Amino acid sequence: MEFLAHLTDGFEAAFTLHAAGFVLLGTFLGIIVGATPGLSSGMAVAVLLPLTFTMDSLTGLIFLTSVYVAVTYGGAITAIMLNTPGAPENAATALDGHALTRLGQSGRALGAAIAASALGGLLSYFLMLFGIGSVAQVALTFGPTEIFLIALSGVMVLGAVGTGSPTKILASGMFGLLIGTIGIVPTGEWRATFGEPFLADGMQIVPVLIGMFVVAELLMLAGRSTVVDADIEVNRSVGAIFSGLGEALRMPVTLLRSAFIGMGVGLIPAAGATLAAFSSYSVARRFSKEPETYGKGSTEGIVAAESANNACSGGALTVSLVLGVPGSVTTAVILGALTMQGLQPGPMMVVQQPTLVYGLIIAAILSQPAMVLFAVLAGNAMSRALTVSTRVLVPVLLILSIYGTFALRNAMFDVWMMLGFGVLGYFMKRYDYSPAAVVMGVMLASITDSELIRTMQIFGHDWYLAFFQRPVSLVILIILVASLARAAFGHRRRRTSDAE
Amino acid sequence: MGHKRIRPDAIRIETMTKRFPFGELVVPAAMLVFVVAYWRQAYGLSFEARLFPTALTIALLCLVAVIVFKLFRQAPSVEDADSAEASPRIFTFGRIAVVLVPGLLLSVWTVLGGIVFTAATTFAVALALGERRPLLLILLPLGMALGLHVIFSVVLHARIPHGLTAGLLG
Repeated sequence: MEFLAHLTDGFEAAFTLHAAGFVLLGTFLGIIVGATPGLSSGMAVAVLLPLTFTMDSLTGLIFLTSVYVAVTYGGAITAIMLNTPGAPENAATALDGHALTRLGQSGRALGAAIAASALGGLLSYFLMLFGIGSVAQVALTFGPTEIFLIALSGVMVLGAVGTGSPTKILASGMFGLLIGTIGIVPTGEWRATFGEPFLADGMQIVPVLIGMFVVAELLMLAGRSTVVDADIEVNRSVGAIFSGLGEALRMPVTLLRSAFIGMGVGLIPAAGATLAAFSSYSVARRFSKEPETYGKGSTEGIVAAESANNACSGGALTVSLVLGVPGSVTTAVILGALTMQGLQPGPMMVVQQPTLVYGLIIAAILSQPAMVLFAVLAGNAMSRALTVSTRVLVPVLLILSIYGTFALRNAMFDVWMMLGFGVLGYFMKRYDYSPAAVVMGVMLASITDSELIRTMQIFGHDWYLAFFQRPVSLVILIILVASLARAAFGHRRRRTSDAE
Repeated sequence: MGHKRIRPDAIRIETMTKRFPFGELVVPAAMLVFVVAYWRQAYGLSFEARLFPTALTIALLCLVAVIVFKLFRQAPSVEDADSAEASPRIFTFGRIAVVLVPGLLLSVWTVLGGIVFTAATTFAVALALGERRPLLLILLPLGMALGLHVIFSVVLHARIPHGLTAGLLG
């Protein structure tokens, strides 16, 4: 009964003209930004975050979630049309999507991607709607040791699942965590604030993420004349798109399996949609009746990748809201928006703010049909705008970043920080470090630090034994160590085989 | 006088350059500078306040040591001059302008005001990146300045200084 009451409140909050308007706006902007290569989902949400400063909590979150939902599909447009994934999570889509484009069947590929994205997303958010209460109940039994380890795993897992050097990714994460410890400590002391009052509240997440995601990317783009070279003839008739839609619907097993894989991967902090898409693609290929068609224009491959990467968003959002630990880089930005609104993510949020949580999930469900509508009606026009000149894009996004950062606290200090993080982020991208791990580290530092201090206060002198004596924390610890060891050995094996 | 015969592999050796990837050291150096600055501030804190940063610092220093060790073990790498030329340059005029132009203009942010700052920065960065279409160089800065003034000052109520346009905006 309580669940039904929460559901009704959520529906009432999300089914308003005001909220629907922001769902449409967020979806529209998300598809545009997602369709622009180089502008990742984290960057899209980061750049639009300042617009939510004056919105109420629910509207701001609905807007950002709609962007988040749509941006992954937007990235599929460029992956299919131009073999240039809008974001890393669309790389698996490009394998078969662009192969179909080369065969003159881009409309079919787009249709399959639209249907798979929407259905994967819908299933994921419906599961979230009915499951988030139970997940929160489980999370309420977690103590400080468990939350400390889960938060720490948010950084560690990036090193374990990333494609780059685990050493560099982990170093980036540790660096981010150390930066995030600046500010007033739970013990009341001022830690490494460099005498700067603006750092007393800790390192603000907005300058870090706009610097690391937006400015660093703009510095990369500044070396090119256009974002992408698009000289390919494409067939994008609405009829072909509907044919692809129908084809995807005739693959219920692939759709469901990929959505569950996506949702499962999304529940692992920081694992991300890229891992979900590639895992699902590999599994679909293994179970396919025509595995030889994969990579040569298989719609099943597109369905597997797109369904999983969109379903991942539901899992990632669940972890973020229930544990306060970002499920992905983009949800880290959404968590930043939550904390800026004065809300504390965690299991109690589901209990204390049911209208907000359920309203948010319902808005995410509503944004799926909106995404289909925009994708079918405006997908053509959007994909034509891909050859946008960096001479226009870079100054526009740079100024937006400066204003967005300044508007946070009306402080020029934040703008300087953003530029500094931008330059550092550029070097990090250039030399295969992970700006995303830095952002995750800064985000997670306060929760890890405060939970560690709580552990010490609760368990006294033998506090470190608590990590081994509590069964759940021991299991998380073993998984964490095993995944890191596997990543280190896997990377070494890859390098050895590459050298051979 | 016979011509001196040059072996093809000798020509190739001449075009190969020994390069140490100094750029690779930028991030580890930044991390180490930050660690030193951090601990100059934080060394006197209580055990609870120091424990987590200490653990992080030890882990970070170990990881940086591994990165630098790997770097020195692989370097100096012998690169083909052609491939070295093919890799994109770290510093280009455009990239420097993207940081330097807003940096310089931000230092006089309150004097210029938001509108003039936006127009000047957009114009200068677009020009530095190679934009030469006069109409775009006029309309883009003006559109950005007015659009952002409306969004941030009027809608979002951010306290953007008026600066040179104070009289114009009242």
